[in-house]
Amino acid sequence: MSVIEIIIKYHEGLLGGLLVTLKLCAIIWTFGIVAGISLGYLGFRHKLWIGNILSSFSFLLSGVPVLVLLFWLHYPLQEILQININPFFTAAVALAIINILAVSDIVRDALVEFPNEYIIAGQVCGLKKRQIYLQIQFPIILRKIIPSLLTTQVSMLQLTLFASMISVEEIFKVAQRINASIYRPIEIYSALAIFFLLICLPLNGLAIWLKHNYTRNLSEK
Amino acid sequence: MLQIEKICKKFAGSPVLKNISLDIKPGTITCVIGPSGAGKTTLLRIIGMLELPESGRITIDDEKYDFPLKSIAGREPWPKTTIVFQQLFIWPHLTIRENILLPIGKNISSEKYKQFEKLVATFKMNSFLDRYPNQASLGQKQRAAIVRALMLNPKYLLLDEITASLDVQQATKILSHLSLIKEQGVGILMVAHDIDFALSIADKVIFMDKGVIIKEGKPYEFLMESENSRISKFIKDAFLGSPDIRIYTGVEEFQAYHLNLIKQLPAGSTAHIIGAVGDTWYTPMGEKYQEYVKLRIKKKIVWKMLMYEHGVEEAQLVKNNPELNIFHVLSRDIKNMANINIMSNGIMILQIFNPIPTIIEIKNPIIAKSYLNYYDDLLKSSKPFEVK
Repeated sequence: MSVIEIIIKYHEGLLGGLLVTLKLCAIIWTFGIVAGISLGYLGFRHKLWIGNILSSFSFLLSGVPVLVLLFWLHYPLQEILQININPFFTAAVALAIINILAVSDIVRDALVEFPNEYIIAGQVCGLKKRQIYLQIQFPIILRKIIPSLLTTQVSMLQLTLFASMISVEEIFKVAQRINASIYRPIEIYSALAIFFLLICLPLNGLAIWLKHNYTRNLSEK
Repeated sequence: MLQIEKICKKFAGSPVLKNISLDIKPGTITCVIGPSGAGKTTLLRIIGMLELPESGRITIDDEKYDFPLKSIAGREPWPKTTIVFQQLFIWPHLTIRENILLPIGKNISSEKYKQFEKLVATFKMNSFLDRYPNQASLGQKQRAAIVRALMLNPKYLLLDEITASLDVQQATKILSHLSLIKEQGVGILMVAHDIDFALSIADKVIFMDKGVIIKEGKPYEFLMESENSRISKFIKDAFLGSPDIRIYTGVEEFQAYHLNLIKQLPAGSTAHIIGAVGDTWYTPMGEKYQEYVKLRIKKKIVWKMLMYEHGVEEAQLVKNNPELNIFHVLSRDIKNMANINIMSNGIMILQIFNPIPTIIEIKNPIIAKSYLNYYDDLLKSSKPFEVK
């Protein structure tokens, strides 16, 4: 059975898995970007409280493997709290937390590293605060963070595979099930690899292109 | 007028500016020089209100700022007072053109656009106007920063070592343009490490060291400074190793130099001479003097001379060719000093006649221009030389 034949025969299952993966991504990306940018900004403005707490969480999380976090949220935490949450939402929460912290770190670093002299140059040219923010700070920071944000989101898409470990019926889990029934690992996993390549490579390429074309050297050296 | 009075500033408890007072008058160029760490840039940032001092007062026309002051919110002096920094901070996401036009706003009047085009042409910026700052050289970015400031038509322009990264040609262009802006009534304060720059166009020079103003005066006063060792050392260090200084000694070299110089000078040009004393110059020229005079008359080279004393030869020159010999007698109050000749080709020579005739040649148009200003000042207190 060829790759095409497998895809045709199991298209319903594969599409279902793909839909779950995309739903998961939509949640992780939306929360990650919205909450991450907000927290990153708040962490910059209120370094003492929010900034330091965020840094501590990021540091703590950097020492915990994703799979361990996922399992801990799925089994021990629910056992402690005596609750039963749908594994899809557990995975969404775990990966969203990782994404939020990653995005907030990117935003906070960009804000911290932003050269104050660009703002001063705006001030002495008579620009108002709002103009400086909208026409100088925001576009420069946006150009700086977009490539990193894109690559982070691609990594998050790849991390959704871990959701299969807590029985989320996403595309990898579906592929595993199909393989268990027909045992064609080369074709199935090759198809899966091509699927990820088709999504991830253009996004990574876009990140590189944006970085090359729109991220300017902020130093004057 | 922009006036600062008794300004004091500390960084981490140690004073960096101590009781600084100075004025920037509209239509003048004030240049602050001094060694690194003298407090020049801090002073500039304070005048530009980017840093607030602990005490003192800054008056910009009718607006008074008495310090200590927590904030200047709502009373910002920009862009009436604007600054061009040593590190230029051209916004990296905009092209050079956009950098210059952003502060003007979206609705640019035709008059403003003409000003933009004129400045672009003056600074030869057309070739890189649509480049991003990371595609432009340091000198190009320097010009963009200056044009960005000029487009705002500031009343007071503060410049922080703006020629540091420019070649002589570009620096000269900027200097001449600053002179034009000055004539339009803009008060300019420049912090300069480059003394040439300060001496060439400044109306007033301020020498700072360790947060204190040591001396304030006309540019040439600094070149002649001998009383304050800190200033004279600073000036000497700045000129040390200059490839533009040559010394010629002995009668033969003296004569050959002058004959060669008169041949090189363009016809109809003028030599300004300060500090002539009687017939001292003619003696070492010896038999070559007649040859020199013939050449000078043939090329119609004018001598404008300020003399301490006059001899027979001066009287003869004025009598024979009054249009080529415009002589004045210096006031007796003026201290005797070296004989200085300033040529129209930017060469300045200092001469010693005894015991060995010696010429010190300085090829530096900027210094020559500074001494021309000195000539003009001395001329005001001199009397025309009349042949009896």
